[in-house]
Amino acid sequence: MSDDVRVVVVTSGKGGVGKTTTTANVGMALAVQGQKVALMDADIGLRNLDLALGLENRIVYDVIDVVEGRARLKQALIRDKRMQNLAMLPAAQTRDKSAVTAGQMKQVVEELKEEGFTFILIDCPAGIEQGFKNATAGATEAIVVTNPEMASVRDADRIIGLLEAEGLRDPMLIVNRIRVKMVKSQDMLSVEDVQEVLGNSVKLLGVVPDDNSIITSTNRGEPVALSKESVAGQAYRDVAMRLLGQQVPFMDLDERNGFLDRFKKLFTSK
Amino acid sequence: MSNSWINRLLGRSVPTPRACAKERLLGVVIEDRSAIPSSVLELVRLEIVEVVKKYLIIDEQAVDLKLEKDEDGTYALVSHVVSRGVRKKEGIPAA
Ligand SMILES: Nc1ncnc2c1ncn2[C@@H]1O[C@H](COP(=O)(O)OP(=O)(O)OP(=O)(O)O)[C@@H](O)[C@H]1O
Ligand SMILES: [Mg+2]
Repeated sequence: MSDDVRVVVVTSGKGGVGKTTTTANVGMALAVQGQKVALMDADIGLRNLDLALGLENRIVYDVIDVVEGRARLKQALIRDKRMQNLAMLPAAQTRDKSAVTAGQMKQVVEELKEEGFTFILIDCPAGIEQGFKNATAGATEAIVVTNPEMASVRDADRIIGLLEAEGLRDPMLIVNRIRVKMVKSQDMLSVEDVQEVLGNSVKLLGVVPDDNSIITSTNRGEPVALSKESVAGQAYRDVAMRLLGQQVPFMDLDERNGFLDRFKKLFTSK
Repeated sequence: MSNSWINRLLGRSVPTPRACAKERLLGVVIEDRSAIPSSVLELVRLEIVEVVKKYLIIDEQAVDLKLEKDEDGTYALVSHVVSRGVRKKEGIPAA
């Protein structure tokens, strides 16, 4: 039944905090778990999700072509070759946010639901205007991405209020780009600090470290969620499991007790 | 990098960048939510200063006014005034 489809918007308010990276990686990790996943780029005019997934060369039609009847939804959807159960609906690059209404975006989501997907993730543009309204129109759940940094947390708080106004209560929180060393030296907000500021209506869904492997893997067009060695990749895989209802403990991101160290212990204890 | 250890060595207690950020964020977020602009709060604060000054000896910066959230979700205006004593003036009872 199409009523079981989870429709999740990935949003933040402030730009550049990691919405697109989150959408691509959580989507990929869900697909690895066997979910049928559609990723919709709602950032009309600033298409980027295609790059994060390495699918930029395969775009023929986009969401505006679907809305305006030049293409059927099936024609516009791009299937990922690595993961057959992952598909992306690209944003238009040469139009702007006013080319589509919230009602039309909602209609596209409804059509996606009929395609047999189990998860639809919507990559929201930055800002609180039309683009935000369009991206949230068809969603029933929301992920708020923030960095442990003042402007980003403040904007996240605004967005949480606006999501509530749209009927999207109790959003899920991802704190992205945390630097444990800086938190330890009392130079950066901790995940707990961020939670305290945003209040207890938000539920922590994930903590992703600031990680160079995100940059290298995005450059290759291979979501870091596919990389077994990457700590950020593991963080995104954990997010996917939590979305699926599993209790996954939060990783210990402290370098000294981290991955490498556990590795070393494995070798030295024998 | 923080200078916190230098300050600690000198016996100074300076809030860390992390503590500053949290404190400031708690302030702005509550203002954003209450939809009471900080400019209005500042006008109210200045007027409180004028009233208190009539009766008490204070530094203008010693009056602090902020919004706090009560348990029941309503907002409370909370003012903190540091006074150095009662003004000696006609009409003000002496201690
Ligand atoms: N955890 C991380 N560690 C290192 N780099 C990161 C991390 N998360 C995101 N980045 C980098 O930050 C940049 C912005 O990320 P991204 O495009 O996902 O943000 P966005 O919120 O979608 O931005 P916009 O608001 O412009 O749509 C990218 O270059 C990305 O590679
Ligand atoms: Mg983006």
